[in-house]
Amino acid sequence: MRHAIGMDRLIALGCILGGSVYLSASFSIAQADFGDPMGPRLFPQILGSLLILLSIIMMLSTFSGDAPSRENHPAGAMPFRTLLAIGLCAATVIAFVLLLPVIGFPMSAFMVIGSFLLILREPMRPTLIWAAGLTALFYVVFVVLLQTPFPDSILGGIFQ
Amino acid sequence: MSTIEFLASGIATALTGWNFAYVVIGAFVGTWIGMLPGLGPSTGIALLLPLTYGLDPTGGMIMLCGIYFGSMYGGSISSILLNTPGDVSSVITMLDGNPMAKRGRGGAALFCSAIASFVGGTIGLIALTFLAEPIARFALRFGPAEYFALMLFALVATATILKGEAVKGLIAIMLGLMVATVGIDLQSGAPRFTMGSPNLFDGVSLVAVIVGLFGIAEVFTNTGELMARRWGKVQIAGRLWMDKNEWWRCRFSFFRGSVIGFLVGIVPGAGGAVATLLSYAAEKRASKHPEEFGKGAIEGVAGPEAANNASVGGALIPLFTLGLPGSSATAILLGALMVFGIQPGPQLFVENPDLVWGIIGSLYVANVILVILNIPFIGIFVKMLKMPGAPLNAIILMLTLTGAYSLNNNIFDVQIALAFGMLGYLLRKASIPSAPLLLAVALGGTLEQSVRQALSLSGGNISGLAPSLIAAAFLGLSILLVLLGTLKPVIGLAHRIKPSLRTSIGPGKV
Repeated sequence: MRHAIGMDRLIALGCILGGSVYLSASFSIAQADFGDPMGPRLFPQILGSLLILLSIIMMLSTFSGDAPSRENHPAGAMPFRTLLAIGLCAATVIAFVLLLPVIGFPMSAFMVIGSFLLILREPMRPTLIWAAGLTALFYVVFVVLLQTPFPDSILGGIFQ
Repeated sequence: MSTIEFLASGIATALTGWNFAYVVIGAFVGTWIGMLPGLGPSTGIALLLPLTYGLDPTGGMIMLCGIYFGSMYGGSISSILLNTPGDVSSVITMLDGNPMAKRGRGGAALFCSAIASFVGGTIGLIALTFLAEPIARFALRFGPAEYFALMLFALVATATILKGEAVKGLIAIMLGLMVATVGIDLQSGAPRFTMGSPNLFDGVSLVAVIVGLFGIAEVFTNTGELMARRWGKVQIAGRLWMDKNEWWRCRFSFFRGSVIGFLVGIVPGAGGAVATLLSYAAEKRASKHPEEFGKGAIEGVAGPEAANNASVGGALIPLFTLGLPGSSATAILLGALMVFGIQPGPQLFVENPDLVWGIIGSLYVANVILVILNIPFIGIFVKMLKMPGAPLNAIILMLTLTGAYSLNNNIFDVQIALAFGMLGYLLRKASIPSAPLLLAVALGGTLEQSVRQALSLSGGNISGLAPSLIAAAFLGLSILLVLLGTLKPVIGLAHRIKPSLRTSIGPGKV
């Protein structure tokens, strides 16, 4: 319960900050002109203001004593190991984005799948088999069948 | 041509050549996607949308609708067997379906789910066939103000009708609308929040948002489940079929659920989840054995499953006739229609009758194919669910990454998908629903253009937002829902402060 309330306050604070940044950025947008009384600026300003207001209400609700609702997620703080795993998964995706133009699709897909399985503590041998098999499957579906033009590797056509 | 003739033409289109193959493939693959724990119609359509890019619009939409229907069927399988819903619409099925499976009646629960889905889907489609055009004719009376009011009501209803705090739903709406403002403003040509990046001049890719919010976020969530060793295993025992007593108990549940599901599905924002909840409540009230609900009452499976599938027909009516998605899955279908260059709305039946009736015809065909697939292949589907969780989620992850890239062959879309994946994961941890956010991204541009057009027509006069009874009614309902949702926490805080003040100041002073 305490963890849930803390998360709600954190999110509310984040939305207040985000709304403030969005609202201040909206002032740099052109104003209304003839024939368009609302203009391109007013709608974003309304949205930013409403987000800040709703976030304040959400923040206040955490002090009201009502138990925060929870969907199908386990209550309580997550272990550090789980957070680390999720962080590493995100890092794997970032690595895919950075490496795809450099080493091409097959190598980067193999890297993503293999890294992901290792993060989830799968043994090395099944990891290599799954990574190779799934990479081949995705290559056939997306490159051969769907003709998706992935970027060429700077190392040449060897890895494409 | 009469409605029956159009429908016959549509079914003939669906049964012709490659279109029939697309229906079968879509229904089959959709069932498997819907079965996978954590995935559902929204994610299934999002993940498989890139597979349709090379198809013609009719074929592509036929496949997507097959996937939609198939994943509705599939979601109930993991709910019943794994106690893990395929998506939010399958949560209610889990309440009695899984206890039935634990009692060894999993086969009967799956069979009941298949029959209920077929009946619900059929009734929903028949209602769609005969009611879509009358609603379309009525929709032609809608001007910018009416569109704005209706879309606002749809978004607010989505945010406030979901279980949980309405404020969180409204925050999700705001976030989605803010995302929709990114890009070059259509009316003035002014850049908004593009940060000088040409990749953002056309706004944020809707498909990237979809695969991020529902695909990558799902992988992050499932990673947590796998690390905590909470990934479930499948057991199935008992006879596959329902016995005579179970048939007798469900005889009205199929039809009651279908009617509730269709009516709820028409309301933009309600969707299958609300339909299943209302159906479950109705079945419990009508049952002679209400104490059995939650412990394996078969009516608790039959009614909600019929409602879930009937809501598909209902949700397609506002999508086709008004361009308003009735659920997150139809929001993705709306995105698919836009990708194919089709603008849904009142003119869709006139300008693209082959497409619309082809889709409706394919849904009839998919409904029959799915009941044929579900019953004999349940044993095979269950074996697939025994796939280890880690490789399964690796597949989901790669599908999202390659899917996001293949839309525009632009790595920037993968970056957007990752950003929304992280956002979606944070939202889940905070119990802020993702469906309203997605709906707001999909509708935000049109919502803003409608309100600006309405104000232009009225010369800037705010009364131009309510020129008719329809617009005024929807605006009034929206304001009421917002007030009801936002005042509750404030009043709760006031009640908490009042006793505290009384204690500190003394009795009779507050």
